[in-house]
Amino acid sequence: MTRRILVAGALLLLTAGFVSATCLALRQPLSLGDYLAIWGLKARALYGSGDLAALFRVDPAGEFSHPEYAPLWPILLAGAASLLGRYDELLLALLRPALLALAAALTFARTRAPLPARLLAAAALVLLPYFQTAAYAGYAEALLLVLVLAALLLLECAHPTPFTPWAAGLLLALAALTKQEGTVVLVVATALLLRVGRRRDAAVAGGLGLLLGVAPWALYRSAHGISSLADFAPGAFGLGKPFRAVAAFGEVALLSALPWLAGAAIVLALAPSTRRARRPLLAGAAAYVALLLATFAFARVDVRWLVTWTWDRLALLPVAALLPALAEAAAEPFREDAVNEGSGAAARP
Amino acid sequence: MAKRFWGAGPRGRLLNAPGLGRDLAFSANALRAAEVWPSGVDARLAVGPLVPPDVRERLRRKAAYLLAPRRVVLVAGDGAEISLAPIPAGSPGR
Repeated sequence: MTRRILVAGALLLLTAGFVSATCLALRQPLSLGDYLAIWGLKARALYGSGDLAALFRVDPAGEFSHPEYAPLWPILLAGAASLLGRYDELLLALLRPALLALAAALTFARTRAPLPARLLAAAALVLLPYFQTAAYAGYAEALLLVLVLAALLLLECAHPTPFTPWAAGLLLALAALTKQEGTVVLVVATALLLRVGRRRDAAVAGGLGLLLGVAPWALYRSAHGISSLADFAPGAFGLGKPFRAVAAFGEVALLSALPWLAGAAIVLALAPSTRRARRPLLAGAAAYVALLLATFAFARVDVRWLVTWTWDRLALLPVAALLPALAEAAAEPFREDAVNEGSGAAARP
Repeated sequence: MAKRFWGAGPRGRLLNAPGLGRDLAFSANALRAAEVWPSGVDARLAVGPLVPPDVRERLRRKAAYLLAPRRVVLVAGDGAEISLAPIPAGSPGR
């Protein structure tokens, strides 16, 4: 009886979050913020010209469109528009709920816990502030998230096939072709596979990600004179900048994030089996955040400004990746009951 | 409201979207130009010194978006001038 109530509650949360995120995305055509200045601009350029080099031509001085950003999201938008027969910003907004549904399904699949906890993890994903913000509807992070979660699902698989690292490598390559954070995920995933002794998997996934994701775009943009990230440069190195980034995060986000961080820490602290089983994921999330923080040392623009305008989008990936572990940790005290019910809640190998 | 929204068509809905509706007349003008000008023709956006810098930047981004794949060249205009004009192929303004 309790289990049914929990399932119903989790389903209700999942449905409410998904409907709310979808309504927010579809109540207006895509037109806001970075969609207009970066992603949509490039997608329209690509749709109108059919030429990948048009991504650079619309803003030749690279003053606002970040020509160095990877092209997969604009390609997907332009490809969808071609299938529709016209560039319609409202119809293209449908990609958001489609990607959100995929991300929720992947979160559900990644969570190794009784059904209520799996549904709760998926519900937590659709309720994340990123997906409840209309302004982010045309941004690239949703696609990046789906690709990374799919790669994690494969890499975490208890019974991998010889095909698994190849598929994961391909997904990581696509992630690197979506946003620069995808390259950071590729580095972290490869390092973790090496750390746990999966050398062949590391070589295959890391090599594919590098050869099919990072290298082609780096070569293509170099051939067009677009060499590096506009907001970061080696010459701008400053040891104090990551600390300033942490301080800025504290100012803009700590108050709202603290209850959630504290809750997550408590749940994990009370779940030793989950901590043990999910050690690679926890280490990966920590390494990812540390690498992002380290990149702030090379920021050319004001670190405080950078943190203020990007922290919620940068936090999306590690938070979403950790949701299954948090759901498993929350379910751990009830695991014995769950096993008795035959729900397959055994600890991960 | 739903009837008006769906009856507006893609063009009307886009022009009333929050990102473009703020400068409705300018956006409508740019969208009209995008429909009429050949895609190989670039655009010159003249903005006068009396227009605040943040508005100038906002208009430039909107023009670039609506006129893509054309290149939008920002030039200094007179007073509070805001105007869009095509740059013929081969002209020195390109």
